Amino acid sequence: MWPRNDVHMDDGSMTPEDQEPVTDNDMEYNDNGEESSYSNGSSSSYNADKLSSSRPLQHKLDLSASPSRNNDLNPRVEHLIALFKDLSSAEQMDAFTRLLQESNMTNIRQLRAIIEPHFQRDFLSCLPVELGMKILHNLTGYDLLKVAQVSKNWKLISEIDKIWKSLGVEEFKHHPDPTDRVTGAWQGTAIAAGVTIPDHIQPCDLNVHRFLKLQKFGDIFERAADKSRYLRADKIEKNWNANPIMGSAVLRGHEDHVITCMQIHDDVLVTGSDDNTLKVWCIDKGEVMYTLVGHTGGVWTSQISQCGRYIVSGSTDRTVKVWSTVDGSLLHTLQGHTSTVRCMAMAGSILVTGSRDTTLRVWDVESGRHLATLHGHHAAVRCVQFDGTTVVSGGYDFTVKIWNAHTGRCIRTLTGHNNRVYSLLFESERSIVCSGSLDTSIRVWDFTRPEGQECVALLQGHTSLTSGMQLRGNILVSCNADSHVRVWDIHEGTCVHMLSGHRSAITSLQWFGRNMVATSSDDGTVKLWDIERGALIRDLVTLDSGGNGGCIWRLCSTSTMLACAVGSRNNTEETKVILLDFDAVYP
Amino acid sequence: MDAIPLTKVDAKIFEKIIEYCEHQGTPRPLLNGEIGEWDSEFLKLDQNTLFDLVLAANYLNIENLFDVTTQFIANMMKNNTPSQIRARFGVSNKHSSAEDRSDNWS
Repeated sequence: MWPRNDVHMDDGSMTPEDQEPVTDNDMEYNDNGEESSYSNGSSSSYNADKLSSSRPLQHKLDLSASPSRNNDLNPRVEHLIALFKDLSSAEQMDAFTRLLQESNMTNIRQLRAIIEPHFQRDFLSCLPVELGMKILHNLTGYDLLKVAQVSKNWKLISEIDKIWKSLGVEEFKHHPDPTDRVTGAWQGTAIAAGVTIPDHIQPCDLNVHRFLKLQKFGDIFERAADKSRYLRADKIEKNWNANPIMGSAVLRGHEDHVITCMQIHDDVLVTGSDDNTLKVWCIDKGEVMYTLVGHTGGVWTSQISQCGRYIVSGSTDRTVKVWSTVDGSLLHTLQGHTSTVRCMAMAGSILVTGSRDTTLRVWDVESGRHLATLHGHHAAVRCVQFDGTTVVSGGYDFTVKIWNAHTGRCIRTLTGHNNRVYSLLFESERSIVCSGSLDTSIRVWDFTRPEGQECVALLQGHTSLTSGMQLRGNILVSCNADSHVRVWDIHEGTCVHMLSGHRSAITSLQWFGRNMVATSSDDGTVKLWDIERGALIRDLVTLDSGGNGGCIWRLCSTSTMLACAVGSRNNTEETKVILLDFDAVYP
Repeated sequence: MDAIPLTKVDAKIFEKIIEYCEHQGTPRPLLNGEIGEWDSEFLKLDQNTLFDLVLAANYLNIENLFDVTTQFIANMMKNNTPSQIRARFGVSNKHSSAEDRSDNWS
C-alpha cells in the first residue's frame, strides 16, 4: 500500500497552488432578485446539511458577487432568508423541496449548475500524487491517453513513467528503434505494372512522409519516454491493420530463378535461390551487400545463426557452406552428405542438417567440424527442428524421429502419419512436437509419454499437405496447400477458425503481434488475418499474374516490416523481393 | 479503555469505514478491475466522500478498502472521452486546443 502521508484533512491546503478556485463564467444570474435569492438560500442550506467538508471547493462560487445582492437588497427575500435560518434542518429540507416544486425549469437548471460542483472532486489534482498514481495504475494505455487530454494536471500525472512501465502489455517494449527505409530501393515503391498494393500511399505524398520519418524522437519521447513507446507500438499496429502503407521497395536479384529460402536477422535479409547463390541484403538501406557464390547446385535451405554472425546454406551439390555476414566470405564447406541437403536447424553455433540421403548430420559451424551422423530414417529427411540438445526430424518415410544430438542416438520414433511429413514444430519446454503431413493431418505429440501413446491430438480438416505452422500456448496456426489457414486448439484438438480467401496453395505463414498472421500463396497474394476473430484484415500484395503463374514463394517479417519473395514458374512474373514498411517514429 | 483520538478522520467517514470492515470477512483480491456487488453499492457516494474515503483508507492502512476505492474511481474514468471525464469530475480545462490534439496521434 502507498506510504502514509501527513495529510491535513481539516483545512484547504490540499488544493495545489495552480488549481485556482474557478467561477463558472457561463452562469447567468436571473435578473429577478427574488429568484436568485432562493438559489443562494438553497445552496447554503444544502451545504450545511449534506456535505461534511469545510474545505473550499475547487469550484468555489463567489456568490457575494451577485449584483442583485450588492446593489438591490429585496426586503421580502431578506425576510424569507431570515425565516429559513430559524428553521430546523428537517424543516429547511421540507421548505426546500416545496420551493423546488414552485420553481420553473430555467431556475432549476441554474440550481443544478450551482449544486453539482459540491458533489464533484478533481481527484487527480487534489490527491497526493502517489494516491493519484494508484488510481491511474488501474487504467489501460488507451484510457491513459484520454486522461492526458482532460487537463494540464491530469496530463502531468498521467505521463509519469512508472505508470506506463507497469502496463501489462509487453509488446510495446520490444520494437527495435525506428528505421530509416528511405534510401536505396526504398526511394521508389513496389507499386508497378502487374503489382497491386492495396492501401499504398500515393507516391507523390511520400516525400513529406520520408522527411518526417527521419525525425525519430519527438516531444512526447523527451518528456514521457514510455508513453511515447506505447504510442509508437499502437501506431505500428494500426499501420499493419488499417493505415495506408507508407513505404515499400523492390529488391531485384536471382533473375529468372526461384527464391527457395529467405530469412531475416535484425536488418539483414538473406535469400537463397536455385541459381546456386544467396544474396545478403541490408533492409534499411534497401540494397544488396553481398552475393554468396560457391555452391555448384541450387540452394534449397538456409539459416542465419542466432548471434547473426553466420549464414549457413544447403544445396543440391550435397554440401553445406558457412558464410560470414560481416564480409560475405566463405568460412567453411561442410562435406559428408551424399545427396541434396534439404533442411537445417541451428542452436547457438551447432547446426543440424537433413538430407535426401536419409541422414541428419550435426556440425559446429565455428570450427567446421562434423560432430555426429544420425542414421535411422528410411527415406529423405524433409524437415528438422533443434533446441541445442534434442533433434526432431520428419521424413518421407512418414515418421517423426527424436534424437539426442550429442550421442547420435534415436530416442523415439513417432508413427501414425500415412504419408510424407512436410512440416514440424518443436517446443522443447513442453516436449511438444507438431507434424504436418501429406496425409492431410496434423499430429500433436508429447514424446515424454509412454512409447506408442505419444500422440495427444489428431487435427483433421485440411485436405492437402501442411506447409507451415506456428504455435503459441495451446493455439496452433497452420497453412496448407489446400488454400486454407486453420486455427486450432491443441489442448481440445479442435479447429477454432478456418480462414478462406486464398485461391491456391499457401506457401508461408508468419504470426506476429498478438493476433496477426500473414500468409503468402501460389495465387500471387499476401494476406493479413486476425486469428482471434477469424477474419481477413486486408490484402497486402496482389499480383495481376496470380492465377496465371505469378506466385509468392516465401514470406517473412519483423514487427515493422514484411518481405515476400515473388516470381513465377513460367516467366510471367519477374523474380524479386517486395518489402513493405510498417514502422513509425517515437512521437 | 481509553478512546483513541483520530484527528485526521472525521466521524462520518469513520462510520463508513467501520461499516466496511464489519462487512469484510476474508479479504478478496480484485480480479481484473471487477468490483463486487456489495462494494459497488457501498461506494455509490458523492465524490467528496469518496475523496475523503481514499485518504482515510490510506492513512489507516486498510489495504482492501484502499484498493477497491481507487479501482472504483479508475472505473469511472474508463471508456470515456476527455470531455466526458471533465464533466464527470468537474475539471476545468486549461489546455489549448492544440495541446488537446497532441496525443491524438494515429
